[in-house]
Amino acid sequence: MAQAAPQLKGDGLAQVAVNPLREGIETNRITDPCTIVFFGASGDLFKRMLIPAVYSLRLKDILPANFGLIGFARTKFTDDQFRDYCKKAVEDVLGQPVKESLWNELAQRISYITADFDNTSHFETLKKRLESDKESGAGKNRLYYLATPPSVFPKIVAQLKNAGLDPAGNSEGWSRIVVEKPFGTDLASARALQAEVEKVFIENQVYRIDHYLGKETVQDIMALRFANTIFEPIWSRNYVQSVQITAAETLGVEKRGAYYDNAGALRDMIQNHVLNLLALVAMEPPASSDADAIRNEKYKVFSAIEPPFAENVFSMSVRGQYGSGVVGGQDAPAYRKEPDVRPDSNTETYAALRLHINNWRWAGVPFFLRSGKRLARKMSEIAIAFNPIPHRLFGEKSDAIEQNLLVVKIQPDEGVSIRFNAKVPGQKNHIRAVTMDFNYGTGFGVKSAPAYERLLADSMRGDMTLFTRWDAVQRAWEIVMPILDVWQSIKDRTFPNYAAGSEGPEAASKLNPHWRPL
Amino acid sequence: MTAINTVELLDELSERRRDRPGVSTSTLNVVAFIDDPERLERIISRLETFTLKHPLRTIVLDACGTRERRVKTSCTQIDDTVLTQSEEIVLGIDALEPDELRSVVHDLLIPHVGCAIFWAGKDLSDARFGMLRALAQTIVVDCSRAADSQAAMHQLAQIAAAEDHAMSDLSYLRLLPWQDMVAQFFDDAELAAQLPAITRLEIVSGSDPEAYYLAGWLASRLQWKPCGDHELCNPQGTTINVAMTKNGEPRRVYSVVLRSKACEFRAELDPSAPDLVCLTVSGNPSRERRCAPLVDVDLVSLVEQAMLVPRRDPVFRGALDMGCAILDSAG
Repeated sequence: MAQAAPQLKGDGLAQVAVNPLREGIETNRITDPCTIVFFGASGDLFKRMLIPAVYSLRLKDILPANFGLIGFARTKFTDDQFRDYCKKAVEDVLGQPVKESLWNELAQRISYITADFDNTSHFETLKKRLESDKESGAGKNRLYYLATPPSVFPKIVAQLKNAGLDPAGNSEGWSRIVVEKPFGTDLASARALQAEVEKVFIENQVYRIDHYLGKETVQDIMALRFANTIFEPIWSRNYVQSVQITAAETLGVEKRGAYYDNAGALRDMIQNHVLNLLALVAMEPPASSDADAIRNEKYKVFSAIEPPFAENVFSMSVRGQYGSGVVGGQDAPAYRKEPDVRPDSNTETYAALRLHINNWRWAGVPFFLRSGKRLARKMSEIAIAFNPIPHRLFGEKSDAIEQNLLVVKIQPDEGVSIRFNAKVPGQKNHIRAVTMDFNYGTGFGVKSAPAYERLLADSMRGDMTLFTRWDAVQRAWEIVMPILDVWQSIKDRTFPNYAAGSEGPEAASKLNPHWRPL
Repeated sequence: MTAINTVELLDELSERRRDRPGVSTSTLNVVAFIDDPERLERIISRLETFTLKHPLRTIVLDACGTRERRVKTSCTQIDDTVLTQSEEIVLGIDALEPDELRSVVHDLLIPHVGCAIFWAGKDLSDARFGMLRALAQTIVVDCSRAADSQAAMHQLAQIAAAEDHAMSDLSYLRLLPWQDMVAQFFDDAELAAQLPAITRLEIVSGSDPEAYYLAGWLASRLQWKPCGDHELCNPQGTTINVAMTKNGEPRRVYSVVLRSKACEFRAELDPSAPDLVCLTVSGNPSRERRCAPLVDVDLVSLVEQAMLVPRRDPVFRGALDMGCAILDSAG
């Protein structure tokens, strides 16, 4: 067999050589050279999540050999000042100094443009910067990361096109855009934003990020379901009584009062994170592990959820807003006393829903979703409750025979636990529920990589599996819009209706008397 | 009847479990054979780390002349539920014949649960290794530690050809960062075009198996065949001279250099920062020097990787077979 010159493979957007030494070498390396442009690089998200993720990718040697990073934001920085800013941000998050030799090498690849998103000439400066880096190969592949408030997304997209930085203007490499959530603030604004985006980028160039999907356990939901045979036969209405999905936080709105007061729990968490978790639990096995095969199945789940009629909204949803209370031993102010929150705000800081998926597998099984701030415990999980035993054979009369429960824990400790009943040792037939627990930290002896690290790497690789497709975003808005409309039009006069540090509003227990305690 | 009473040992384990009601979730039997007194305690302590992390039954076979026999259990408890239960048995086995050893180990294994052998013995042709392999689905060896490492590679190749185990050699697993570094050169299409023009391979390492595995890996991936003493020929007939220099600490690789007439690809440890590997391409084409951290993996992680993700890896098999062929070509 003749020794080959490298073969080519590609997705129509970029062509890469097949390296004969890569086969069987398990690395996470991104092989395409590329430059990431972070719009909003002086903001909180970049500082807390994105630049630490970039450094961590460098530390693990996952970044491509030719890599560039350009910060693009309003704050005035020179390149050196921005590098210092990045270094401090990384060290603050790590709690220790960076590895100097590696940082110095990475820092050489970082630059900054002080920019106004309204100013066309600043985008032309960006174009020149990218073109000057083409020689190394990095500048021809471009990842535009919108770490800015959603209100400026359309402006940036339009400016990219005007400056010739759109994919059509870059025939030598790929151009992708990463859009932070929320994608729109309601169905109409999401459609308007999509209309702007699709003037410039086609769907497989748009990476809508939902950082929940980058968490290890979220990805493990599919492994649990489709890499095992024991769960699939019972994964349906025949055995499952109900599904609870919880995303509870102890934090309040912190410094995000202005944003949150216009968003609320339904927009901020349920419409994206929580519905995405629901889709992973409920979807049919995809035909393959390809991004589109998976995203097709997720979309089918959303299609099978009937949005509520306005008259049913109050019977299938509960909203809440926290008053003052005690969280973690500390006094916590009421939501309406938080900075940048209106004193008469009607924004919900807690939302709970009961949804039904109208398909063959899930008909009749309630899916209970809840998310809230200033709750008793920080906890995100999916709990699948199985039907009670049909006939009691064991156990003393006083013994509670609990339902089997499968819990996928997303945070703070990522893992899976299964609850089942066992005989208590002794002469009597006492039965007690025990839990078999798998914890990622101890099970594999490794700490899961932060979600942003994974998602940033995937967007550079061109793997869209963990990003949300437009049809799913649109459908998720369609599901929550009737609730948003009713909640917006009818003020809740009971607000605040739960104390900070509590389990949430009492009304939630009417929606579901069996919420797992926080 | 051997000097070891397995019933007594198992009773002792049951007794310890009785004190800790809960769920035993042992997922694997791990059998470690050690015949080097200098490494015995170190390996045992590393295995304990491993055992504490995973619900395993670990059976340490101490062939170092000691007569020790001990049983330990450990568990993690959250609330009132025992989450994992790990068990460790250490046995002095010098007095046992190979078939007796097999019988003892067989009795001590958790039935119907997989078994992995970590052979930290000096000789892969030891009859006891053959007996233990019959009980296991996964075997892990470290040819670099064997008394005769070149013979060990040959024996491993013979075992791989004759038996159907998931098999790993720690000497090979240690090379992954280097394989990745060398592969990095050729992620660049322009540089990959130089592959058919390579005429020389130089490897500096502290012990033999690492060098032969690296050369074997390159040869098997690039379809180079042995055609002389430390010479390989590519499919176009170009000869590649292979130079291996043994220098430095055992089990460490110091540099890998590939040369063509036009350019040189050099991956080497940075003398000023030994945890960095620097890649340089000089000549035409050339590339700027780039350094990356060398992820130095410890014994526990390597064993963990080999046992918990057992593989029948054709790339490893190719590297092993070709590494042995290069050894044979040297006569």
